Amino acid sequence: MASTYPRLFAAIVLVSCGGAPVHDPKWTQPEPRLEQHDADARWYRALSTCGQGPYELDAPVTGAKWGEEVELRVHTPRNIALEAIVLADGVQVTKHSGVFTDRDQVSAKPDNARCIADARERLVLARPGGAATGTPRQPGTLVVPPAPPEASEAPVELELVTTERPRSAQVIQFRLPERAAGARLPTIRIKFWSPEPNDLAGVLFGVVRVEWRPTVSEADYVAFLRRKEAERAERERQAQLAWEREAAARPKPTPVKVAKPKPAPVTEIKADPNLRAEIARKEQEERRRAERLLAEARERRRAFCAANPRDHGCQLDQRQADRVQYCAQHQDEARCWDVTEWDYRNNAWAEAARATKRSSKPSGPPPAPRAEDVPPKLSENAEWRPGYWHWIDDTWLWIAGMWRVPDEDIAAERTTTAPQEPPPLKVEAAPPPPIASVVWVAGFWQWNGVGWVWIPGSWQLKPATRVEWRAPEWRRRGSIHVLIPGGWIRIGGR
Amino acid sequence: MYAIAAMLALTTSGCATIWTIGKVAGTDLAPSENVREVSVPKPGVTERLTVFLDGDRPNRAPHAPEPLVRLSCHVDQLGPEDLYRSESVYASGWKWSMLAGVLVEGLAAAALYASRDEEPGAEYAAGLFAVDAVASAGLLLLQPRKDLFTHEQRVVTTRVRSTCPEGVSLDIAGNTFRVDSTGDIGELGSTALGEWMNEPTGAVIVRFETRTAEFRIGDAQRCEWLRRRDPKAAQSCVSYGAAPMFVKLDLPVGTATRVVAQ
Repeated sequence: MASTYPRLFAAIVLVSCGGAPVHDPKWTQPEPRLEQHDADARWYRALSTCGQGPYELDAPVTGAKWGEEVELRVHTPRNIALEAIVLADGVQVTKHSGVFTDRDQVSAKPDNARCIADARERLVLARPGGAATGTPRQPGTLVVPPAPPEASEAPVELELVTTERPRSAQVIQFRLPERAAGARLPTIRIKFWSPEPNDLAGVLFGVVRVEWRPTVSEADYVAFLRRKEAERAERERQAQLAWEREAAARPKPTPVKVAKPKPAPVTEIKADPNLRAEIARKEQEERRRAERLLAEARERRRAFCAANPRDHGCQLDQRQADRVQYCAQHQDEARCWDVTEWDYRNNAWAEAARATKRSSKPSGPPPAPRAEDVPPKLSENAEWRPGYWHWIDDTWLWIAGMWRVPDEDIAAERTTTAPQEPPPLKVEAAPPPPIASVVWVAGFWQWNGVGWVWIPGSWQLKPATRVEWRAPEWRRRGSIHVLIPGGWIRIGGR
Repeated sequence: MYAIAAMLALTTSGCATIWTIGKVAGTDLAPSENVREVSVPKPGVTERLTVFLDGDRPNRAPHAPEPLVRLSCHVDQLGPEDLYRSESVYASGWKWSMLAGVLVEGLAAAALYASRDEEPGAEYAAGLFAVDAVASAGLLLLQPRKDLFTHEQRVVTTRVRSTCPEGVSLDIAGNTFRVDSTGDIGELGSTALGEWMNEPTGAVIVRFETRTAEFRIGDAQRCEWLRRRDPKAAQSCVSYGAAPMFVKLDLPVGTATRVVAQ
């Protein structure tokens, strides 16, 4: 009994270890294959904190032997919205859009609060070229946004940065199609933008060229492919042989005789003009007979109805005739339309509806941003929210940039100071308001450290009911003047 | 057997009994046959465009100051017409179905009568079916055919389309905004309407062709409107009894239903 346990232990060890290892290259070495390699990556950052593009980046392609892809990647500390297209020799080949983090695409809103105007800031621009009288328009004149801006093809510049590959999400990818030997490489360009400006602080855009390369040396990989091809051909040959052997061994089925139907002598009919004429004559006779029978039936019915005017069927026939006569004269009335007419009209209205429907989303990129003169900073901690293009009522509208002044700066009078009193306010002629309920926010003088700068007035939406615009003012504090920026104040109590 | 008899009575038989009960109650249970109707339109048709103001758009455009507004439109045509109707009762269909009923009842009566030894009392049920079968044959099967012809004058409303016709616009305090076929008045229009609901100045009017109609918007409707968009801001107002906001424009026939060549 005592010697049983060591023997059992030895047996277990032998079974578990499986004895000496057997060398099987199939298990020890993976098959050669193609792998992706980032062959080239260039990272860029936007020059402005807020931006919506359009941006354009050239993707270098080299015509890699085993396949090549280009990608636009984004590294971002927050959600940003992007729409991207890939142009091959100027022709769009793929398109993608979404909201991205630096890991993946998400279904969320972009974090761009500091870059877009809120209700309080949405400056509704006056129509260009409008008379400066503010004369109310005639009722019935449509309010339309300003004319669409001239589309600018110039993309917004990006700055090349040197960085290790950061964690990023793929925005768009394009695999170069195989091309014939000696064919010219296409010029690949990636264009991207967003309908609203993104908060681009810390955001990097990368154009990455990905090459497919074998995991072994090229010669080995070619040899591997040849071997694989030979194996495949051999397998096919064996399968073909096996099938032929099986087919030879299979008993031949007894052929079943199927009597073929005798084809109609169409050719004879076609060829024989007399036969053709005979058939046509018979058909015509048949038609005439049917028409004659119908006319006789009608005549009988008419005679019956003349003799029996009180017959219900005859009365309804008369009413039906009245209906047909009425409808012939009133084709606009829906109750006279038949199914075909309803279909025609419904289709026409649906088509008109599609044609006149406003599009809530732009189909292409916004124009290049307008150059803005940033007015002097209004307070110590004021933040500049740049202007941007806003899609409204089927057109792009420029929302002007503005300084965001924190309430704390105003309370603590940490605003602009000037050594002298501002000049008298300019009398501005407000252009006609684009909509009725906007408020004219008059312009004011701002000190830029050297002299006085006039900040022109604009139309602005009220942020809430029962508020009014308090104009900015300069208050004397000893020898200096302090700016109290304008703002909305509540009126009439709570 | 009682169960079978009861089932037969409920489903196929009892024709005369049921018919008599119906007659006593003032209802003729004979179905109409050979029905034919002809409606003859009469002059005096009007076309009516109805525009609702509170057809809300559920999906809000990103960062719009308020949910955008979508009106809803429909166009109806209203007109008088004569409806002529001819029909028959107690016609061939009736006679065939009564014949079938009489046969079923007769067979049921015979079967029940034959089983009277095994089931005492079955002869009473058999008698009931037999009486009803005889009554059905006499009263219903031989009922003379009646041909009826009626004439009715009525006003019919035909819903022609449920999209806004081309050319509808909304006038908000003197500013006019195009209404597209889906009822969208755009962001500017929505903003203006939102402002108007906060502080009404002037009228809100629908324009189409040469016709106009003003929305009647009271405090309750404005409160309802504001509450739907910002429940917190409109806490103190009263929206009880807020009726839907709509206008109706009566138009010549074809004004809103014509097909405009694209």
